[in-house]
Amino acid sequence: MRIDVSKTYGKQTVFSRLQLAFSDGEIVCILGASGVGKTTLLHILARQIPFEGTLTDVPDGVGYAYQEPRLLPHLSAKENLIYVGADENAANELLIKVGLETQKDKPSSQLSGGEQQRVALCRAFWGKNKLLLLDEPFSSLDVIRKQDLYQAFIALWQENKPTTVLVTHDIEESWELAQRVIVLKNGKVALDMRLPDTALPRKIDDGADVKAQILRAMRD
Amino acid sequence: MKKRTWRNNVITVAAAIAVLLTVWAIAYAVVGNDLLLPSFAECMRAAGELLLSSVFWTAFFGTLLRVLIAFCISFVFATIFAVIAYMLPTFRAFFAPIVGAIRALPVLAVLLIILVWTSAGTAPTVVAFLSLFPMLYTGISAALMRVDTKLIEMSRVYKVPLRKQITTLYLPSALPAVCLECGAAFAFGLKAVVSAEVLARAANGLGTMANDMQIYSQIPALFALVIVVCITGILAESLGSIVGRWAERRMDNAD
Repeated sequence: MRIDVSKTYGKQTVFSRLQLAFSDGEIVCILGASGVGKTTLLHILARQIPFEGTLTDVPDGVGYAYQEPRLLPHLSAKENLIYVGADENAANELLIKVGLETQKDKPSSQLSGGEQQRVALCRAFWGKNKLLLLDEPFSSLDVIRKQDLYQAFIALWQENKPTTVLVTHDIEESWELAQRVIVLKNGKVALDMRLPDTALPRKIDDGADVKAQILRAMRD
Repeated sequence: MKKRTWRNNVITVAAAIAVLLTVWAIAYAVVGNDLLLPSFAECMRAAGELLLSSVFWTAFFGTLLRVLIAFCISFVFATIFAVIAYMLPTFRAFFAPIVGAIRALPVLAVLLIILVWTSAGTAPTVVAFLSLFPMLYTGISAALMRVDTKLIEMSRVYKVPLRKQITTLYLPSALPAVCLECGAAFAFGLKAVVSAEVLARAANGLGTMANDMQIYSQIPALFALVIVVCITGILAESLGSIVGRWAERRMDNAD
């Protein structure tokens, strides 16, 4: 999967011929300061906004999880999955996998923030899409819930290993979840680094040198 | 904020009615002329007679039918134009001054023109349409604009069919505000039709009946008729409010 894209908002250029290639089944973390165009990149990959350039081998159907769960509040967790096309069995199976079997018929507005984000993750994984786009889906959670959700995310990802582009500003998160890290700066790639091939999620205590390298790339 | 209970609401309404009746009693004592201001008891007696007469019910349902026709036509057109305006911002901008102009029409003065073109029976319905259309258009447009854009974006990413989006996202989101607006519009339509009937002297109408009562100095009956119109309007508005709140609770899942 390759992209070669340019994007401007009025007179402001976000990317000028940003070229990236993603291998099948890898988890790529995109880091960068606010306003660098991380979310814009996801919108382009999902073909949600107009842009210049080409997307090569980018699948049409994508799974997408946002910073906020974006669930229909009057529908239950299960109904939210059915809303995007899942059948009842598939919805039940997914919710059981993330530990929501007893909560699946509860209106989503009555679920906790972490539970809502689990449902949103299930929705992103439903349909076994080859491309998963995650726009800071863990950022609003506390550390404990975040760790639980990392486990749930990796468990779901292991099943079909979709190519995953995870946008975050959290260096720790990129260390724990990503196989590759890309740092964007001024519309260009400031760092493109493959992380050690170890089991995910990685231990939070490790990788001090890698984290320092990412931080330097973001700062410099 | 402390939640108001059903019992609290009943007490508040009863207190407001008691204040109104006290003001009426004081005004009656001050005026001291039954032809200018009849007593509440006299009005209630007249209301009893009115409710037992078939002439009243013919006029009541005649007026209600006009309101209903005007309301239905306004609702259909307002919904169509509001949906077009929601989808096409250019149309929204183009249509805004037209709606503004319709809203600004002095409808009772316009009634005199409409009377030249249509019959006395039809004119009140047209007047009510001119009053209700801008009201419902604005209300439905506002309800559509309030649908969560983030949920719309999510639905687009997941390629949710439009029909499903309408039934599962748009309708439940817009319904509470639309129901509230419909109740208020129906009550407003009733006022508009009755006022237009007075001027147009439409057959089988509460307005015409009120005009006759004024001509023949049946003042207690006239007061009773006005009270009946008020109560009907309040009931319509309350019904819209109840359905709207129910829809809102369903959307929020608030117990």
